[in-house]
Amino acid sequence: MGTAKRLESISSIGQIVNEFYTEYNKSNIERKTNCRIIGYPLPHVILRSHDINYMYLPSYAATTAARHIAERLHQYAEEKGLLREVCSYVRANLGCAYAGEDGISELGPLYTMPKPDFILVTESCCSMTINWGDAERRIYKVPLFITHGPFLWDDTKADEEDAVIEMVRQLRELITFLEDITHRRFDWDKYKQTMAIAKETAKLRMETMDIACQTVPSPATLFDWTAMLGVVNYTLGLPAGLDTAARVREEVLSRIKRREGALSHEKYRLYWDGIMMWPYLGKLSKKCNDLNVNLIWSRYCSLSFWQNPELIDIDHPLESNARQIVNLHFNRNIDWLINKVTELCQRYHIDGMITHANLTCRTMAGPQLELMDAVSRRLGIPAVYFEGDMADSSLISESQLDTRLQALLETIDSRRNK
Amino acid sequence: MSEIQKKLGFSFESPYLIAKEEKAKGRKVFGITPMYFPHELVHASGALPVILQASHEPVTLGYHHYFHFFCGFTRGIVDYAIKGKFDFLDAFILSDICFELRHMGDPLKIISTFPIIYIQWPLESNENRWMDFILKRLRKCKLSIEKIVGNKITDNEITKSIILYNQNRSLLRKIYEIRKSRPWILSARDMTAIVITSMVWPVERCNPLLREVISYLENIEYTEDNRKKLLLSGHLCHEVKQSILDVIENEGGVVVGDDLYTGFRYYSDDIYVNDPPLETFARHYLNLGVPCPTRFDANRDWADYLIDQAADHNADGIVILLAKNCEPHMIYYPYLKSKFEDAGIKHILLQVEHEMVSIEGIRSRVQAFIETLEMGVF
Repeated sequence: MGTAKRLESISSIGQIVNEFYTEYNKSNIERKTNCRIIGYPLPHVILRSHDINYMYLPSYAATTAARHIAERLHQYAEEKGLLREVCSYVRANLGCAYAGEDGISELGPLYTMPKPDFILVTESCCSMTINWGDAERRIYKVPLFITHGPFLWDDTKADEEDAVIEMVRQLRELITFLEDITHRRFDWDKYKQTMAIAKETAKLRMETMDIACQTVPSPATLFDWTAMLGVVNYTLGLPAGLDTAARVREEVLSRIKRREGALSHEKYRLYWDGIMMWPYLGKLSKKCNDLNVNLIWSRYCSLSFWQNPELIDIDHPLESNARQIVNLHFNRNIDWLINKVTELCQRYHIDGMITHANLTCRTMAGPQLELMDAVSRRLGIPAVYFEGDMADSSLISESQLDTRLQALLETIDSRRNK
Repeated sequence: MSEIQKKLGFSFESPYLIAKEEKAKGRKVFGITPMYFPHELVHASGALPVILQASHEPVTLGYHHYFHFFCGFTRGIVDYAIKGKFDFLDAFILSDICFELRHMGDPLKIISTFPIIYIQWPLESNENRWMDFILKRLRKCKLSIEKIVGNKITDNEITKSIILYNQNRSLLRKIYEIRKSRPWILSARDMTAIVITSMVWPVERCNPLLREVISYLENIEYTEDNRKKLLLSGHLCHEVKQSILDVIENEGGVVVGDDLYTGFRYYSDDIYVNDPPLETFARHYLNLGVPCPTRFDANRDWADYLIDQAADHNADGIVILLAKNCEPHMIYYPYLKSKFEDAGIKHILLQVEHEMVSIEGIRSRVQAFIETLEMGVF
């Protein structure tokens, strides 16, 4: 039975999350403008610069799922008529909104969020986020503002530059919207300062992941990288986020120097496709440790969440923001995605691919079968998929995961022995 | 086959028959995904625009490329493509109004033998914000169509196409009005056949047939019956299974109106010809006659629209037909439910799958719904 040593430097994220929601809950008492955000975590820096409290709804759903309290929210949403095939993030959040609307307070502090002043959707390849934002708007009866990430079907340089110009236009409209709703001028200097911290934080996160994923044995696991998403989602643009990212880098470099892997025995290095199964983190982690499997990387962590800090130019913050969304893997076509995942699987010495087919996240699942097939053929590595979900534990099939993971490892073994 | 379907010469089983005949004559054929692409743009090029229909076959090979938890329409299209059943197409227009349609493009891009023209639409009804976004994409799309057909599309030709399709929509609305006033003479199945014919046949051939249908309906003798008047709602992107429509009308209901895609949503309003063509298309997209759950519209409310329609049609109840895994519709449903309950509108939700689960289960639920309407309790 193997064991794993999680990065200690990231353990503070739980406390950061608790403090975040405690503060957010005071928004109405402190008369601070607050909003709900859905979609790519694009506007965090803009909102922070304009002193607006935000609740990032995908993160909220992941947090409630990881803490095993999403079930009651799902149940509440389903009682109102939401079907179980709906994205489990949506069900958790609309459950929370309905609970608040009906004045249910006995469920606990994470269940009762303050009424927002507006809803913001930064859509990027998931049209459903607009439907979700619209549903929140109807419940709270507040304005909704949306941005649309242009999808690069042809993936030409000209299309990419057009997409950046388009996103800058939309972000300018967002800033006008924020000025109108708060009756305050946007502080561009503060925006640049916040962006500078965000850039350093994102740079540290991406560089640290890249170094760790290249190293054999790897000093970290995907479970560390998923926890580190909290740095982007809750603290991007704050010194506290930068500090956490710096400590993580230090710890990773220190482990590399000592040739210390995260697992007691790293026998298999796997690529994970799909969102993490938040209610199943502990079990999955144990399962992997027992089998000496290290989940090295995923496009969810490495090709998203401010994934291109090198494209951030502090003097052009809107364009920098725009480039993050344009280069997001969700906004790129299937050929780009196959090339990118192939390149990184090679770079990270991946032995096999395991695809988590998220039953209620069709955005993530859309390209998965083509991706698996193409990368597997190009690199000559085996791939399997299993069905599960990111936030609904009732949709996770443990036995399917067990048998397919076992089959994947046996195939890797048999190829190694040839 | 009903009298109407005989007059049309249309078969649900082979919706692309005429398209294949046109192709054999040398005309280029473009398949278009639902729901809002201006097919006039293709028609003006000389090619035949065909709105792609739901597959009637079980999905088999498609599952190698696309998961079972996507909507039946997109799964069916991928399945058809992998089986080579779209080989008669010269091009495929992927009109992106929903992530399931967009992701259908992932396998199609890899397996298809025909060129795909992709166009992304904004999902907010707001001319101030999205006109330029649409125009830029329509211009690119127009260039792609021109490249495939090998000639320029002139504004004059587009205007002529708009006029022809406006006639088509106007004729369909005339039929809709006839059904609204005399629902006993036109079944929901036949109404669907009429609309799909307009979606897949050359408009020049279809319009005279619709005039014949109108003449036939206006002269038909009928007797009223006491079935409950129902409004059908939802079922975006593709037709409702004929067997389900039959159950609804055989178990004590009669359809007096709808907002289905293979229904009123398709022909609710005309495209105006007084602006430059591409601007007209963009404006039409941003100002739909029937509110759509795929998009955000701060000024229109689908629930209010349906409540008004139920009153206008003197409907006894609303049947919501929800294609399984259609996320925009699923997310809107709790709001519809709540508003209908507040307004005292009786409704039933029927979730429909590509694979038929149990028509008897649906029959029982429809029977129960009709009985509650008859008893006046709910």
